[in-house]
Amino acid sequence: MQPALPYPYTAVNKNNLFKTFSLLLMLTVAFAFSSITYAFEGYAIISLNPDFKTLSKGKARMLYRGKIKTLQGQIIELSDWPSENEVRTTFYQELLGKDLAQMNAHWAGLSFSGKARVPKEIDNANLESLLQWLSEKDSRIGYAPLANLPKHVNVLYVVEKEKQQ
Amino acid sequence: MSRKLIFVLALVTSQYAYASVELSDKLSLSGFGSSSVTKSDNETPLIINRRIVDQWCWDCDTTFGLQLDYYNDAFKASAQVVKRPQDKWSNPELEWAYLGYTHENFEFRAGRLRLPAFLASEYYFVGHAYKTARPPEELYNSILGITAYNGINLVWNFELFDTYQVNVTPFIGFEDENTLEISKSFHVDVDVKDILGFSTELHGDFFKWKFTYFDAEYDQVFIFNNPAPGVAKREIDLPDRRFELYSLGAEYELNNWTLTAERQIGNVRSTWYASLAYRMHKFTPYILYGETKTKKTDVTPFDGKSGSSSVIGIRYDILNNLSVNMELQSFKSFAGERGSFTTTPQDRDADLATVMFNFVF
Repeated sequence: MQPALPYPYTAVNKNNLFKTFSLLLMLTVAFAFSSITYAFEGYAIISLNPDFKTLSKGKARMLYRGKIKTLQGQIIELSDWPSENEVRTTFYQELLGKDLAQMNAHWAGLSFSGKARVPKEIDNANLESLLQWLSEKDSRIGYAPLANLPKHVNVLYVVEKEKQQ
Repeated sequence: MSRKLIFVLALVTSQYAYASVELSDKLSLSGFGSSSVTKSDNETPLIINRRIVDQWCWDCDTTFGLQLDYYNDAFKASAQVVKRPQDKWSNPELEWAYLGYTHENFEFRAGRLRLPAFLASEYYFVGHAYKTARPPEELYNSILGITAYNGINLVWNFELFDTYQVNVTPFIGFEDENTLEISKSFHVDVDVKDILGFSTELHGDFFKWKFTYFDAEYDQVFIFNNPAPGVAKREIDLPDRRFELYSLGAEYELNNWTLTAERQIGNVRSTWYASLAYRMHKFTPYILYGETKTKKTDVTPFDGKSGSSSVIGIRYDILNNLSVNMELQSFKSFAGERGSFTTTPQDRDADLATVMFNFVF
């Protein structure tokens, strides 16, 4: 039996210490993970076609509003992240100030009037899946978190968080 | 009807975002629909092709469409079949079926195509794509609900000042027959002989403008089926008629506000509307006002304001691909004209209440 310790000290049990440390570690990892996954760190509109030139802000916005069909004379294909994915939600919010319901309505008008093809939803919510889809055709364009983009990717536009008013 | 409703609900709850069904890398299937419950306080039917009266109607706006798209680089083939509000489920309409080929900034299309008369004409039946429950009645029914033509068009897309996108679309329409059921005892056959016109759109980051002109030549027959007990069917032939239309529309998205206005001037009638909508999270309240002016012709001696309506409503996005509109629309008709009624009403005014669900997949 351990002697009682004067205030403010308390007895530290090794098992409790281990549990506390583990919990702190898990929380730290969880926080770090969540910050990688969900925090807005900027997105890039990308292609693997080196011939595509960088886009102005206006053109980038019109591209994902479906108002641009060709770049440098080439018919383009757009991609989206899977529905309800945080990347997709944040991308449209930051680029166009629209939520996914608004974007659905917008693309419905374009698609059902035959004016544009709805962006292709990539199969999995990760960069590898997007890069695989992009690599199949020069005409393909997508967007992804800015961090960890490989060097061979052609960044057409960087979506940065607007300063809060 | 309940089975259809269940089918619709099953569709919309199985998808949370608008994404067509990818049948293959080149082939996709998508769809849209609307269903409403609506009631007027006037016994005279309101709105061509919907015919809403003073009883709750569960089937006046029911719309369901399927679209099949095939893409192969520069080639495209597309077909859209729509059960329009006036159609039976067993007899939907082929709204378009065309082949397209794109070369650089030019796209050529041939087949059955959508008439590009107004801002929302090309997605007229897709309720989820616009703010109000129905497209503004004054304008969109001013061409008697005709939405498609058989013919060819050429779309020329180009960039202006490195900032704007412009498309110019000349089109030619050939022989086409349409039957419009104005009321149970009154039909109009419109036999379009040819249509010649063009539309042009200017797109900026947050706005679009559209101007359209077309000239159509057609034969028209008014058919009165059993106009009164003991009175035989009667037909009035009106051959070699001409319909000319100019329209100009604009839509601006300014932060959460959407302002839309369109004006149509024709040789039969002229109409306009203006609307304002404000996005608040998933809610979009809106107001709209529209007017119709009938022009003196050999069929109608009246020349002046014949109808108007005001709309107040709210749209709520239940899911990303499912929305509901709740709106009230007040109609007025003037000088003994029918306005937005299908025939001249006894009581010149009407209030219309609507709850409409719209979805896409």
